[in-house]
Amino acid sequence: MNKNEAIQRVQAVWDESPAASLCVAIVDQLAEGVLQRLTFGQLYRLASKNEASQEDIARALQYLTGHDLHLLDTEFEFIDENDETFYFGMQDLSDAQHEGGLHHPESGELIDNYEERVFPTFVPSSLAKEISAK
Amino acid sequence: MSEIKHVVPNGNLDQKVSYKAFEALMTMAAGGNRMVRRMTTATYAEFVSLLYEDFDEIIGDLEGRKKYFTDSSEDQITDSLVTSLRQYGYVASHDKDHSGHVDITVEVTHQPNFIWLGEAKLDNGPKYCWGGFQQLTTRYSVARAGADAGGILIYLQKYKDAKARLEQWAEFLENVQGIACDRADPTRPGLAFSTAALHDGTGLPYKLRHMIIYLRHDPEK
Repeated sequence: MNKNEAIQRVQAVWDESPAASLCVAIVDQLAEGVLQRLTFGQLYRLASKNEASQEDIARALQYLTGHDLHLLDTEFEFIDENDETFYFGMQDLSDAQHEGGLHHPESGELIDNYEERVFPTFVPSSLAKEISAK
Repeated sequence: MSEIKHVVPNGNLDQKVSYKAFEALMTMAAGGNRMVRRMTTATYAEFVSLLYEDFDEIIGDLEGRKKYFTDSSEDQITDSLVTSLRQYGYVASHDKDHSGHVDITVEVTHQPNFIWLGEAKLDNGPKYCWGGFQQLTTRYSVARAGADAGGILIYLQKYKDAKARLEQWAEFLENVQGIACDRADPTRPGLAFSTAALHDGTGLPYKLRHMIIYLRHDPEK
């Protein structure tokens, strides 16, 4: 898939809505290869430029991390007491919800109040890397 | 509501957004509260169950906007459903080639073996719907593990009393075709039922959910 095909797919689903503009802005950055890890700070800046609301951010995230145009993988950042950074995947958080807790990747200890201590970030998927390589 | 307001991120550019705040934010998108489940379903049963939760929400939205669909064609209504499914993140297609052009195909990328097929029909009576049932069960589907569930969607535009119209279809399946109907649908009672007729090809049960969508718009005031 190339950038234009990705944009066409976004527009087929989201037409010319603010959510579409936000998705296209993210596709542009992914295609340029400048987006290594999308944080909420960056996301809010892109949303602001495209007149996208919080609802539009939620729609764009659901779409770009979903199956139809999977351009972003979700990684949850966790910084422990020793200032070491770890990343959890979507499956880890799903398991944590079912099992009632999230464990430290090295010590295996339960992370206290994990829902407030892990922070979602979004990294280019293999499809996004394919687009940026073209 | 007050708790959601408390945790939803405020849009501050430097604000760190926790998982809890992220979950609250995602509820602002239709289907967003099930996003993590949609990306991590491990079994076909979970995939189908979640898909039906999503269908119920999408159908509810469509019925809420029925005045825009009361004169629409079968294809236009199906297009709207498929677009919503794609907005929720599914790989959903209208008229995808699957041993013929099936109305609705739903897939997920993390479980490439999973597929759900649907046939859509305007409510022109049981004999018309039977054509869709036959296409789905004898042409498009194979009823293997990971692919043994599908749906019949009936768009009701001309008649009142969707429950009675669906019951006519159920009675046709039972009395004319000899197919048992399970009317105990937990989330769309009276407006959906299930069958599990043996598939001609594999000899295994093919589980269909039959859903009627009320799109008649005829206000009396």
